[in-house]
Amino acid sequence: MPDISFSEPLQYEFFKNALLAATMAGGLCGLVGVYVVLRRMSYIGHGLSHAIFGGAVVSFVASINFYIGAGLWGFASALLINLATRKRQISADVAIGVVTTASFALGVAIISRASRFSRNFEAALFGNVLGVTSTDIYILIGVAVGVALLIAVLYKQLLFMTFDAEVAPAYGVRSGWVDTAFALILAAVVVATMRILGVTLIAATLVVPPITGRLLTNSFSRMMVISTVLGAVTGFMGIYISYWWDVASGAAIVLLQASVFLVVIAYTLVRARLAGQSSDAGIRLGSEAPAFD
Amino acid sequence: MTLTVPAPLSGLLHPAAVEAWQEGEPLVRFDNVSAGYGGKIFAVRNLNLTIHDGQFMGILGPSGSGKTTLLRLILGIVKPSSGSLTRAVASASPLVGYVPQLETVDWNFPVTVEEVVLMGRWSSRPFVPWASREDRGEARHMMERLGIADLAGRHIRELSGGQQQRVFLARALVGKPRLLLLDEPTSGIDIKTRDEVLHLLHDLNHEGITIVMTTHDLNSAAAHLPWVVCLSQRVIAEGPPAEIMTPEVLSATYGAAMVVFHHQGMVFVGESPHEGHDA
Repeated sequence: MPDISFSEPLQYEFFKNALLAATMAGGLCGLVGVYVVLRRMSYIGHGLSHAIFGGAVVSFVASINFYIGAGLWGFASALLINLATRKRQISADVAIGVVTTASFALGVAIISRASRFSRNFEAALFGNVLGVTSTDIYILIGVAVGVALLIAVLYKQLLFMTFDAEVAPAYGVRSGWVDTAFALILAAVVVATMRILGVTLIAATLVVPPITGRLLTNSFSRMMVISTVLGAVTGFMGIYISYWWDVASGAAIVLLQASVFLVVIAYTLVRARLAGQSSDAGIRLGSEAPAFD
Repeated sequence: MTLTVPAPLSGLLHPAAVEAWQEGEPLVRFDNVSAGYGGKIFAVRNLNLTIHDGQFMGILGPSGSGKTTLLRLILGIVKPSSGSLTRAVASASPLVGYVPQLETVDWNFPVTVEEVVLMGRWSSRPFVPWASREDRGEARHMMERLGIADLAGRHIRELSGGQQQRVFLARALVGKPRLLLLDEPTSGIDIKTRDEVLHLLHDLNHEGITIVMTTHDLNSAAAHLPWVVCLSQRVIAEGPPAEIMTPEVLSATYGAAMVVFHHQGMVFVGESPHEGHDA
């Protein structure tokens, strides 16, 4: 049985860094994830993080700064994905699958050619608290502030576009600009949180807090608040769990989020049953969540 | 087999009234417009149509006839691949308000009635995340006008079909447009609600808003709309329903035989009882 103490690990610099980073990363993913979930783009979060992994490896090999290399790569991938979703000749999920998996495969291929640095990329794949440097934290703070500002400024247009992408342009929303801005936001969030959450787990942190929030409210603004807070709290607690039980930080955060989701599902179902409308919870889950009936 | 059909009754609408429609300033004009969605397939082809200020126009046609494309062309979502489309210069208020088909709305989306109506005012302060007091006032005024003010805090799924229609009407009207476009506003709602919606549109038209709506409901168009356009990629005919809803025009529009009855000044359209036809 590990010693469950909140204060004991705080004596370590790396732990404090990790705690700060994971809280911000969780909150950021929770915030941006609201749009990802409501725009039915959860597979894009998954694909984008894999694509950026390829960019990370390439920038490592080419000795380019990780944030610049992976950032540009991610932004380009996000734009490509955006483009793919608009063209109707090839179905969007197929196009995205090809682009992002090819990019991921490129990363794997380069790593397998030169096994000397494969260790470094385990962190990128699964997340590693120990790897968080103060530079990572500054970048994360910068991205968090930038993303929050951009979302605030574009709030009305993003909401309109998310609710009604077909109609919003008719009301003067510059859909092209808003989509591009969102691609930039998503790429920035994935790049900034990749080292903490891990490529394979970012998709979950983009999806689980928003859908949990959705179960608890019918209001868009409240869903944003719940999702962001939930992401931040699970990020914070996930790092403690990771320390106490010695598990990967990304995995700890995602498992914690999944547990909260299950509890909320159970609560919603019980509440619906008590109210005598057992089908309500099932309907409100929307298409993102599995059917429980 | 064809039934004898009385000659189209003219004069049901006073000629002066017809002229008045056409004397209004042209808001939108299609000159030989063709448009489609990539490739060589056109949804509308060589379309010529003018929408005048003050008109209340119904666009009739089968699915695939280009009704929705026509609306999207006016909205600027679809661009003409040939021909020219002229729109009146937008004044202080926006030119167009748009009410989409209810079936296309994501009813699971977490928004309340007020949040949807406020979307129609987004451009009054585009980069501020919250609505101004004035925006809220306008939204409340419009919701009261349409009888949905007491539903402001409700989730959009919790409403009846007629209430849902009003929410999207309120969103379109809260921006004070000159031209209101509605895509199939009478589909998927019951007869009583349909009547309410059409009367509401009449009232709005009398207040000076130009209205263009698509519909596949011939009889309700004949009963309620002063001006209809029969569309089948191009305009087959346009005018008051009593004049243009003839078997010839309708069969050219729908590609199926139809019968038209006139009774006490009203027009009724039915399918022709023809073997092997299920128009």
